[in-house]
Amino acid sequence: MTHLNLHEACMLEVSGELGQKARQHLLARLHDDPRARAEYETIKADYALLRGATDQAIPEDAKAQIVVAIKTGVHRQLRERKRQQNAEIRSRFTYSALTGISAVAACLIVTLSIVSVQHNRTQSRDLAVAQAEDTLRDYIIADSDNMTDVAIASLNRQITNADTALQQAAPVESSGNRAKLLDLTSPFADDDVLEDPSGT
Amino acid sequence: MDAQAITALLTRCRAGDNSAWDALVDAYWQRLFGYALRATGNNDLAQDLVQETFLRIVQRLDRYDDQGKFEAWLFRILVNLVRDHGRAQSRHPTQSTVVDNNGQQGDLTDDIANDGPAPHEPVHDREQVSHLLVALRKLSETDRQILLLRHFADMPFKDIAKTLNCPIGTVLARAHRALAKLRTIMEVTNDPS
Repeated sequence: MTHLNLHEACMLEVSGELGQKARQHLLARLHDDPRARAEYETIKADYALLRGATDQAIPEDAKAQIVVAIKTGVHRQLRERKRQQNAEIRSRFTYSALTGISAVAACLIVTLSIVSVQHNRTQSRDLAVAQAEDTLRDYIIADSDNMTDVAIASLNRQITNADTALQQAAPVESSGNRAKLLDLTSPFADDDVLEDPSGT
Repeated sequence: MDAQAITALLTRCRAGDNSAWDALVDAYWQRLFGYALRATGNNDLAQDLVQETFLRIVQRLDRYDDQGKFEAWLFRILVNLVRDHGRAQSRHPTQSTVVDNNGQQGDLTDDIANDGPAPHEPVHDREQVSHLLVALRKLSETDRQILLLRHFADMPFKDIAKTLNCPIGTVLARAHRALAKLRTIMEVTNDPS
């Protein structure tokens, strides 16, 4: 604000906003220049008139009413804002909780489905193993006359080994493994176990 | 109120301290009201606009980045509200009112001299002020804003520049021009011949 013109300097001076140095400069000019002084007086008169309008004080009781009304509105808005914030927090919490519950429920359903399917499959396999074992047993009993003692002993040993291995290595649900260990898919593949009845 | 005090007050306001909000209203309402009253010429409307200004502060204070310009921000909200109201009113004009010396409302077309003077007030001053208020309403919006902010909101020119987002030189030039127009309007009003 180093290059103030006369109007600007006058207005700032009347407003009480002119810096010390600029003020001294203006006062010197007003002292020397009647036109500048006239300009200053005009602005000063304008300000005085405006100040006169400003000074028309609002009655005290009206002031009190106005300020109370404004404060009441502000307090109401603050309460409303707080209520909204609480509602948002509640809503956010509820959403999180519902999301969590939904996720857990989904996991539970998937797990139960898998267990159920697995259980059914295990039961089916157990049944198949039991039936295969029965078939094998019947066959062995029926053909025991045609088997040598060595072959029967070998077969018993194999069954015992298979059962032992089954208990150690394959838990209940691994009926597939049991089937593999017993090799029930091809019970007669081992030529060492059964002898040809014809002796060939 | 200095910048540090305002910052401290705003911190308390952000924390939801009701007494801090009361202090903020106490600190600024009269200047805001002074501006709004002279800008709208309507007591109730001025009160509504000042209240709306504070309500917007409540809503937006969390997002306000305090850089020592709170006062400018506060007044800018009010100036915008007054301007928006003026535009809305020009689209849907209603009967204009002007507030006289005692805060009483009257129609702009009323014969101002018919208003009874306050007992303690010289008739001449009262007439002058009434003419002034009517003349103020005849100024352009920008010119009026500057004079109202300076004289009725008691805002220094440098703060007016911040509020209106323009250089102080421009504000001073406009203020000078506005005063000259005001003088001309009042001379015509005082001397209709």
